[in-house]
Amino acid sequence: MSNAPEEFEQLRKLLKLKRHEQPPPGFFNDFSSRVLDGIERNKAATPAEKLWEGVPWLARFFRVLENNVLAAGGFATAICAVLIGGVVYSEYVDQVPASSLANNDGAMMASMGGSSFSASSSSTGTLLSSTNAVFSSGLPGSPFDNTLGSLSVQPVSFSPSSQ
Amino acid sequence: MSDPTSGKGAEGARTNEPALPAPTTPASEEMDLVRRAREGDMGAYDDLVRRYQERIYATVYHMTSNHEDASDLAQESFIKAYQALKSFKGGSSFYTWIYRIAVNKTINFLKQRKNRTHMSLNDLDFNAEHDPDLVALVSDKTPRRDAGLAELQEKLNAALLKLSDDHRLVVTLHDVQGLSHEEIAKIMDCNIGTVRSRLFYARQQLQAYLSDYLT
Repeated sequence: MSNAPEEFEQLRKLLKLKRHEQPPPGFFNDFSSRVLDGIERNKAATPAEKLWEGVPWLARFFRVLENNVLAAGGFATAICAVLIGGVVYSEYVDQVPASSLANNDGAMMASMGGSSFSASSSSTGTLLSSTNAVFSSGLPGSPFDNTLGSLSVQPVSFSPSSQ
Repeated sequence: MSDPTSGKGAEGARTNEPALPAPTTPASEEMDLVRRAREGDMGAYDDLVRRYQERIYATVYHMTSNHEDASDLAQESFIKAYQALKSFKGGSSFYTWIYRIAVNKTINFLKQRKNRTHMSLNDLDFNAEHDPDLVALVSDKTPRRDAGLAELQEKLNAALLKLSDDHRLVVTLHDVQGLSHEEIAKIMDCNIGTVRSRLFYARQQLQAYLSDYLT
């Protein structure tokens, strides 16, 4: 390997052309003031803005969203899909383990001789569902069953007193 | 390449046939400006920017072949240097330190941009037409005699952009800006042998790309 000047003489002459490339006239006149403005802006920036500048990929991402309607729409759709998916999934997760747990409980109680539990395992599953705010116990022997059973609905009439 | 804002860098600046003259400011005067700027004297920092703006801009421009990108990156380099001024311990010249910031920033930018290159070339100055070496290249000896300076400029920039960032940087700093091997080694945080090797391979590749325009 040699770096002898004569070896690349023509190339070096050609590269001199780069030295003749000059920015537009007056470019450097206000260059330093633009730098100082940038420093002042940076000093005045809020912590959130500084954080924003510290994460350039996020800033670029949001710039793309601002400039591209399709990208923004796609991003919004994706966010909605994730939210809906999350809600559906949480429902599914709440229900499946509850029923399987109930079945397991029933099987366990049956093996222990508690036949009433195995018979009502499906209703126990409903009971254990945490997202079901209104439920009936369904358990035989529950004190609420008797109370609810003795209640009867009777029509009530109301007539204001004559004036 | 290490972070130049750590304050590590070169002592002094020597150049071979500098395209832009090396700084002649006494080190003490420069350090005084740095000290004042660090204490919040914006006038002092304005002086520092004016001293080095052309060299920094030129380096970034030759690396990107794009005026707008070079303008933004050069400004950002000076802003970053100001913010990191407290970490500048004076173990190197401010000149070398700001160079390293600009070079690192430019290389990061080019890595992000990858192959999405868009040239926005500056015009050639009046002297280009009167440079005997360049006149000879476009008129007498090249196989492509019809090539004008503008076409040559475009081909040269396109060929430079085909080089790797490190190879382009070495050619820019040495053959265009006229920095010495030692100084380039300090800016790029590598040894002189690496600089020589990169320079050789970069020139070899450029010569191959531009063979139609060279005798």
